[in-house]
Amino acid sequence: MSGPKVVTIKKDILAKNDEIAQAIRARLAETGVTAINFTSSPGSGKTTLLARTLTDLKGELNIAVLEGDQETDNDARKIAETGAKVVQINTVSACHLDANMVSRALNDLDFAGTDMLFIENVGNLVCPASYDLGEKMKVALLSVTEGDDKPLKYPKMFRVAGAMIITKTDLAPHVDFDIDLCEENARKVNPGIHIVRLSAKTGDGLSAWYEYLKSLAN
Amino acid sequence: MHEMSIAIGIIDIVEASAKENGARKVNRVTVDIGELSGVEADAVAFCYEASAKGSVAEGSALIINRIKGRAFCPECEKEFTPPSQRSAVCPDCNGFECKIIAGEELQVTQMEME
Repeated sequence: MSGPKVVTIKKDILAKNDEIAQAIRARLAETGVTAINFTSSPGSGKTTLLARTLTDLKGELNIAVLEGDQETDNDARKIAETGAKVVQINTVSACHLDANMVSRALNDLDFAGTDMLFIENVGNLVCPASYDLGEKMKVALLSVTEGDDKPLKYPKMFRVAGAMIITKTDLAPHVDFDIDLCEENARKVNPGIHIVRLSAKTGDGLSAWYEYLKSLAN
Repeated sequence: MHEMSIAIGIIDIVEASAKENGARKVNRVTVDIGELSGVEADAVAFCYEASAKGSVAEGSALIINRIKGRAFCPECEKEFTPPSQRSAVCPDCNGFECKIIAGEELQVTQMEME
């Protein structure tokens, strides 16, 4: 090369993740599996809700699970108790799952007869919003013990989510969380977002969640 | 967001392109970072030098084009600037069905190499 030359590139920086995510999407479509990517802050109740869902829908929907945490297989163990197939992904230092991690974990999952794949992301309302894992939809959880302005504070997450689940409603009488205001805030950021309120502990609101979930399955 | 991993992503693209073009040295890399992309341009700039060390991009300058957010309201058939990442609500008709048409870019656009 003689002397400097300027070259036009136009390559997306997150292109690699998106390519792998598309490959996952195609792979799941081949076997008719619908994937849902569950996100939230740590402690919003993702694992508890998923375990309850798996138990209640046993026999109706065949659901496999990918669990994402920095360390431990505690969540995978809780899911395994329901009898569902589950694989634990330990990100070690990463605070979100990416398509590469999901793609590799799927090699350890037996898909025969599976209707849905639950991907429980690492607890984090920031980074998971930007990583496509090949899911049909991101579902963001938010518990009443958090702030009702969370959708405004973390707009990207609530904008890319197709649905929001307000969890732990059984604790609502004990906190200052304004559920209606929270829903209003979520709709400011994402007017079309589907919202469900429930308590995995008391069962309140679960039937509406299950109905919605079944409508998402292919 | 992971500005460090974004910086590393830029280096990956730069190295691949340098190899493709038979370049041994990269002088300048230009990237577009949209205001609505969720990525902190300053943090990427901060991480770039560290990420470039030991690669063909070492010593290169990173030029960041910050792309302003723009949205389009199909009701009013007009473009507007959304106030933040929060929402693209039309300032004229308060309509929600607006499409974001600019500001989500995260792309390496150009390189100068030899």
